[in-house]
Amino acid sequence: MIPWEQAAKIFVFGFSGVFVTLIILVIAILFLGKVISLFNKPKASV
Amino acid sequence: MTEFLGTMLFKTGFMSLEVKHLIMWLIGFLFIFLAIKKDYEPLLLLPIGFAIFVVNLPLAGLMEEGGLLRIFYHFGLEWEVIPPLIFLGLGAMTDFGPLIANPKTLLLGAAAQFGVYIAFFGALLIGFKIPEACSIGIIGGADGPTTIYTTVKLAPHLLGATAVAAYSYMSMVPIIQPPIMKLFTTKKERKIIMRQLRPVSRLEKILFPLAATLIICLIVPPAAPLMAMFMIGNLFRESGVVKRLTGAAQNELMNIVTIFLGLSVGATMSADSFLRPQALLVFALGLVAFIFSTGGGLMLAKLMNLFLKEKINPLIGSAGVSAVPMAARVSQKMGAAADPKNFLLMHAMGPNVAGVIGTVVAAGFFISMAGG
Repeated sequence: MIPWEQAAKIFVFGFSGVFVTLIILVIAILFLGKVISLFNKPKASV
Repeated sequence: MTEFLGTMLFKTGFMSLEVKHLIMWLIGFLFIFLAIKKDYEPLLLLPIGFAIFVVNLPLAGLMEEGGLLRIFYHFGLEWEVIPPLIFLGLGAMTDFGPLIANPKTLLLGAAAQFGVYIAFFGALLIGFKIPEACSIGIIGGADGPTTIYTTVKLAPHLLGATAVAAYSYMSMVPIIQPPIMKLFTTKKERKIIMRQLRPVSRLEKILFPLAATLIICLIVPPAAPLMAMFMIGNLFRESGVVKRLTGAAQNELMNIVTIFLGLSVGATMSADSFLRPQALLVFALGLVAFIFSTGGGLMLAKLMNLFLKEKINPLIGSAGVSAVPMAARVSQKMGAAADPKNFLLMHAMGPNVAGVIGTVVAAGFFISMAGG
């Protein structure tokens, strides 16, 4: 007897979980990139 | 005297030899042949092959309680020391620059876990239990240490079969992937030339392992041993201040751990545990997983192209299976075959290392949902 309910949970949460985790990582990379580029902007000459 | 000789004869391995031992020797010799003659993952297949041979020498007792290989297996794999140490070395060798420069390629690493779940369901349908199905499915990530780590946690009796399947398919990436890549892409798509990646600052490279560890280990705590070691190895590399540690992680430590990994994995392949239909099924499902993972990466790349202004070459999607850097090299080769001016290697390295992260995350979810 295959425990379909548990298997479905593992698939739905697992596969979407991989995507969600990596999407958060993408956002983190983009955010860090923006912050770093802000700090690295050359100061306007007076 | 005759009685003494008779007793001595029974104490040698000859009298305990069975056909099953000879079959396992042949399997061991095949691995040694593939490593030496065909150069298929020789760093692993050679020690694995030799360990298969010696563990099937009757009366040698190398895998019995107190036996030498049993000790390696116990402290290396059962204690879950070796896979994280391999990840430390991998981290010290990995350049996340291409991934940071083009972070959307992380999604290709996620899509390439598709085969993991196809094989998971396939294993359930064949009759494997959930923890076993998870261990078999993770072969599709094409990441040996993660496969070993997951199997030891969930279905240690399948370790020999899953580990050998993972490393075998990893070594066969240049054979398995190209036909699938051709099947899923048109010649026009294979000719897409991608813009050169932007340079990535040192600060971004230093912050990435910290951010990745924080995010992944908070979301999937069971992935922490692998992810933390992967990222600390990378931090060694990118910090530039611990060159000795980086060198040790990349070379000496990695080499030593690889020896123990190969021997420990091969040692699990005794005739009694390996010569079962189960092992063949694991191999078959592993191949299914690998094929669907390759297809998953390619299909997401094509899907992304529907929405992206600047198209990506879908060939880099297949590199979303881990197998670093071989899968990326295959993307490069296929792209160059379609158009000699096409240089995809650096673009494919993004999804390639994303695949490692994706597989670790998938394994973490498996362990948290199917383990105990």
